[in-house]
Amino acid sequence: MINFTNDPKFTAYALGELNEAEAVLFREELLRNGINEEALQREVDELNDFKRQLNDEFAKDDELRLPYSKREEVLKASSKSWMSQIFSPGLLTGMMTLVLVVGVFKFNETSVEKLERVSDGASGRADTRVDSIDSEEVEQKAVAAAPRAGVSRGSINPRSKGGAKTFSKKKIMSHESALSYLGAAPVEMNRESYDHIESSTYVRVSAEPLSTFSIDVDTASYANVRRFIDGGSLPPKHAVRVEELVNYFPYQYDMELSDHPIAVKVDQMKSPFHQGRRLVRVAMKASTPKVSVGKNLVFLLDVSGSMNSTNKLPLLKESLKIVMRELKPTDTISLVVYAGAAGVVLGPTPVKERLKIRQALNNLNAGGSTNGGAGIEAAYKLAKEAFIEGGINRVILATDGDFNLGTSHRGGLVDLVKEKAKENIFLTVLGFGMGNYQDAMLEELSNKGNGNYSYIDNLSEANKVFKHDLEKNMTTVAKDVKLQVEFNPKFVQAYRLIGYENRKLAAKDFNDDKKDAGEIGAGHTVTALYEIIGHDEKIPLPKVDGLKYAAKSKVEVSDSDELLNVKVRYKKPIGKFSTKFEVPLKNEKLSKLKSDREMLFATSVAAWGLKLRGDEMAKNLSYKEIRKMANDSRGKDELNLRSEFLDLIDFTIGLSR
Amino acid sequence: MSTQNKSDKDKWFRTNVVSLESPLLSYTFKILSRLAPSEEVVQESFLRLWKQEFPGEFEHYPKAWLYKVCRNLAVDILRKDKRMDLEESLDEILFCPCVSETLLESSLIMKEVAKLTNQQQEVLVLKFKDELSYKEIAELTGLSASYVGVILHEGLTALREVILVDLQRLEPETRN
Repeated sequence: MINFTNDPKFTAYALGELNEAEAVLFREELLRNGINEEALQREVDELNDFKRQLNDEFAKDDELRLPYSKREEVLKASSKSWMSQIFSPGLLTGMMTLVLVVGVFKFNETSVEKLERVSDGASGRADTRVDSIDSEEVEQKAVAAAPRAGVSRGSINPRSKGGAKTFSKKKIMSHESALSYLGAAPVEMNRESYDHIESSTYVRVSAEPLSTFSIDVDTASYANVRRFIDGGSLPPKHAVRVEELVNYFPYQYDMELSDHPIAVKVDQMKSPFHQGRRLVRVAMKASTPKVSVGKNLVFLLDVSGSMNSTNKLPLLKESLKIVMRELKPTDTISLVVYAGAAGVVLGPTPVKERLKIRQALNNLNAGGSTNGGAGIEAAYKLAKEAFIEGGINRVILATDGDFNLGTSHRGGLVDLVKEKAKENIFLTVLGFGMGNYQDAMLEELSNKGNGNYSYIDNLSEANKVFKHDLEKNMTTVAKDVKLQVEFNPKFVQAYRLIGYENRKLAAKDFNDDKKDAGEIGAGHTVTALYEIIGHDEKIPLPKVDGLKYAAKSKVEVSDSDELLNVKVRYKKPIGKFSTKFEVPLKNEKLSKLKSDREMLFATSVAAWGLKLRGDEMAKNLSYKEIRKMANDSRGKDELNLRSEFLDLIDFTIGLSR
Repeated sequence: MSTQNKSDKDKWFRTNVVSLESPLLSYTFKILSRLAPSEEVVQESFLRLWKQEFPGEFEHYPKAWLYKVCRNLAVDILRKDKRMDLEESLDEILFCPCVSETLLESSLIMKEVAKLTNQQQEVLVLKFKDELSYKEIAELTGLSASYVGVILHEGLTALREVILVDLQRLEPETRN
């Protein structure tokens, strides 16, 4: 027998470097030499084990990162050239980028010469760079990178003067760290990543009479923002997804459910953002099925080294114990861990075998680096094995999101998750911890996996997610829920959807059943807010030129007295085709509009989020006014979520001074 | 290009920037040994990537392309740097692995990695840290893909011979 592992071809085969034809040839060659597939596979596994060890080792290397400002310049350069928004306010950095791009691509001076010139004048260069940094954002980033102030989530009181003081101290530090980051030494940098969110703007009805978006019941952004504020810093603005803040709170929507599993109600009130405008709320509530079905939950737990802090793995274990209390004895739990090599810790086990599950939990330890890809496959495999027909089959991924990119290239993972969602195994994503939290990736995974996404930063949040919202989060009553709002040009000049920036759909996607959209769970409420500008206000939005070739005849406007019409599309949890229903809203005189308490509260949350994002829309409102609005509309607050929100606003006031 | 494609391209671009920024910077830094010009080079490579057209093929991961741009820009900077007698040491610079020295000290495996030839180390790093394919490594280093395979195979074999036995003895539980 030959020692085939000594052949470079074997290494190439094991590492997946051979194409299919070559691989077949290689296997045939081995067979001829008396080596069967099993022996080959054994060696391949062995080599790949070793490869993973190497991956892990290399992953421990210090990460160099581009200074925040530089990365932003690159990103802005890209979005500018497409969006042609060069002249939007406050984009000094954008302008700088433009100069740079022109310098690089238009002038005779080659970019390398330029680079060299820049790098030679080291000191002068550092100065210019400090000027060009969007100082506020760098500050936020640097502050976020600073260790969390010792504020415990157990009590809310420490959010007060003390916190504000800490913040100003950090402010000074952050300048220093920004400066040292420009120097030669690599500085430990915050590795959290957020997708860029471009705030939506007002849209003329004449240009776009339809506003289409997918619902979003995720709440992760709220808990994440809260974590930043508790830690004594304002969140980076791209971490703030306004719709997730609004939807974090349960609302008392008393609507009657008819034939559909979801009910929709549309209301209007005077806009607190601008005088003379109105705010429209689209409120959605899902039914609560009476019979709870069997659950097959596969927990995929990240036990990599980065999970080894009190607000991660130990919190995760406690969270799992809460889940066990909420489940029925016959429901099954499986545990899969990943860190380097992935492994099944506990096969599908009925919850009645509590001791066995607890023991498995207690034996979990953090160590090694992350390779989510292999773990996620193993988890889906288990979920399929224990599949409960008509029941709840879910993979629950708990991680700080620090997948090793490459082996688990984001696109590949997303595809896998999407594929499995078609087999009715849905995904729930739970984010833990901070520092290298990969928000953007986790959100995308949960979106594509027909799932939801929560961020857990403390035990009371774990209680909310696993005790109070477990059924909501696990029982999908409708999937691919899309909303399309048609505005009546007779009454509406322009509108703006608040939040849902990354949930927007093209108008034609509404009727396209292949287009994925959000899921809604039992008893979930979803709220969307629009601000509407009537015809009596002059707005500085550009008008579209009249068409030269289209017929001149005026479009006939129907004489309907409706302000707008909301269309809803959804699919049954295991259906392929969607159902549609419509809810119109009558136009009422602005002066006669009354405000609804729940709507007022939702608006206060939205206003807070908009302000955190530095959005122009909320500039007329101060945090104090927002706080008053929230306080007035607090109502019954069983879980104390709303009073906690008031505390958060207080703390925001302290931080933004 | 339709709006959809534009936003796809935008997303694709952002993903690349976010995920490749760090490895590219490490890679460039090991060539230039100075952080400031390395950052300029990486930024420039991204700006060039944006200008490139990759029509429709968004799955095509332009990793190797970016590495190559960074490498070429960095080498150009080195060439123009009069303080260095380059032609003698360029190969040495390019084939030293782009990992920090502390990493090479950090564990049993890494200490063995540090004993390999520069070329073996470089290929190993590009394969297992930066996750480039043979073809991409070949394109980047100017070697042929099959030669890259040979270098990698030899490096791996050398490593495994020394370490595998030890590792099995030390950490039997992680082998499952």
